[in-house]
Amino acid sequence: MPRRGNMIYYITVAAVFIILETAAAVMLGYNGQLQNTWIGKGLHGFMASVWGGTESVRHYFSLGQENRDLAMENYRLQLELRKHGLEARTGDMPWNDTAGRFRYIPAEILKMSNNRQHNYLIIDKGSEDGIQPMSGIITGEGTVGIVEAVSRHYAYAISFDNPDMAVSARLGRDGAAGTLVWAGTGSRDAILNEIPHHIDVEEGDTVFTSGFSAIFPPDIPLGVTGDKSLVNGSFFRIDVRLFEDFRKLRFVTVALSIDKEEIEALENE
Amino acid sequence: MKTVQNFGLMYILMVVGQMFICNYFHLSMYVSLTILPAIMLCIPLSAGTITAMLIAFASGLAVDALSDSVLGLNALSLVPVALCRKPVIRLFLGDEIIERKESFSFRQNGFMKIAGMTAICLSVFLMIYITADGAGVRPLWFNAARFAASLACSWLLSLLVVNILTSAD
Repeated sequence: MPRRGNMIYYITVAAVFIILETAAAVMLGYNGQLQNTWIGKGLHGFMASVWGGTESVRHYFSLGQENRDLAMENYRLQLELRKHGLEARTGDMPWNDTAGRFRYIPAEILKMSNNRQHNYLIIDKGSEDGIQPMSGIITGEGTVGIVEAVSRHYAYAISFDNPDMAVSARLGRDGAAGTLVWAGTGSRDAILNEIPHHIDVEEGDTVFTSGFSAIFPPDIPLGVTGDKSLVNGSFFRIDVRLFEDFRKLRFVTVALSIDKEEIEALENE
Repeated sequence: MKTVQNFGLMYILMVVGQMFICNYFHLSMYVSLTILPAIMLCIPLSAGTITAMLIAFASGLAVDALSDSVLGLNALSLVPVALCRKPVIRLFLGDEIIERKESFSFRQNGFMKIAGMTAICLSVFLMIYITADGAGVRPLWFNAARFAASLACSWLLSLLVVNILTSAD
């Protein structure tokens, strides 16, 4: 007998078997009280496992959307936090995407290089979303990059893991300010330069953005200090372990300085 | 050799015999006497698995309806026996007998092989029957004891039935 014929025969046998057994089980359930409870219990267990399985599959496929929702919620909460920080000084403000001197726009990283000396990233927001060149890209745990070029729907940025990028940073929220640059080795290793030698630096101190540039807002925690060495007898060169793991990044926030043009015009004068 | 018509008549008589056993032969709460798997095993091999399953369902239902057992219990237990009838015969007697659609008997194939086939078919039947009859409320040791006692008694009775149904004219 051909193989296909065999297959159809076996399927028919299986179908007839299932139909007859189901019919017998239904009759058994209708005619025996104990059997009715027993079959009902078995059926409920089976249905619960099927529903549990389908629910798990559905939940798995909706994880992407949940991630986006969480990133959006995270962005709103961060914005709220920044506003509350400013409220004590400026009073109540209506809700919008602006806090202090910066406007914040959530974005998703579409592409990011990590293994080069000059790393870059591309985000899913462009000029139509209000992104401008020289905008800062941040998370709650660090500075990610600076936007270099913008198209209508996308923006290209140089990553912090890039020797061309430097961030103005300070020790603690009100300590001495210096320049934080990538160490060029691991993606979470950075160096804080230009800290005067008379400043008392302890290992484990937190490094924040200073807010001196028009690119990154102040008080974003960046990392913790490690070993330090004296350069030219006048400045400390401090190793910094960054909080943010760039390899796991997906959702970021773009920070646009509202007063950037005014500050630049003033600088040019 | 018995004709199919003769077998049909014998089959019906055996099913009626099972109804009598169910109604009048209550040896113990540990013993459920049954000859249905044995008569299922003896259905001529010219009948396919689907036909055997339909016959098993009808026979089981008839016994359930005309005896004091719960309707559907014998049918539920007997259909799997019909399903595994040919694989069991193939296991003990080989492919040839199935391909040639020959009959088997104690004289042709030996006591041990027929007794083994009967025991396996009985075991399949009794496992389902006792589990479904207990409906999860009886302890495992009770079901196991009932299975062992029923298998021993039914096996002896089944050997007699198989001998009657498969003996040559």
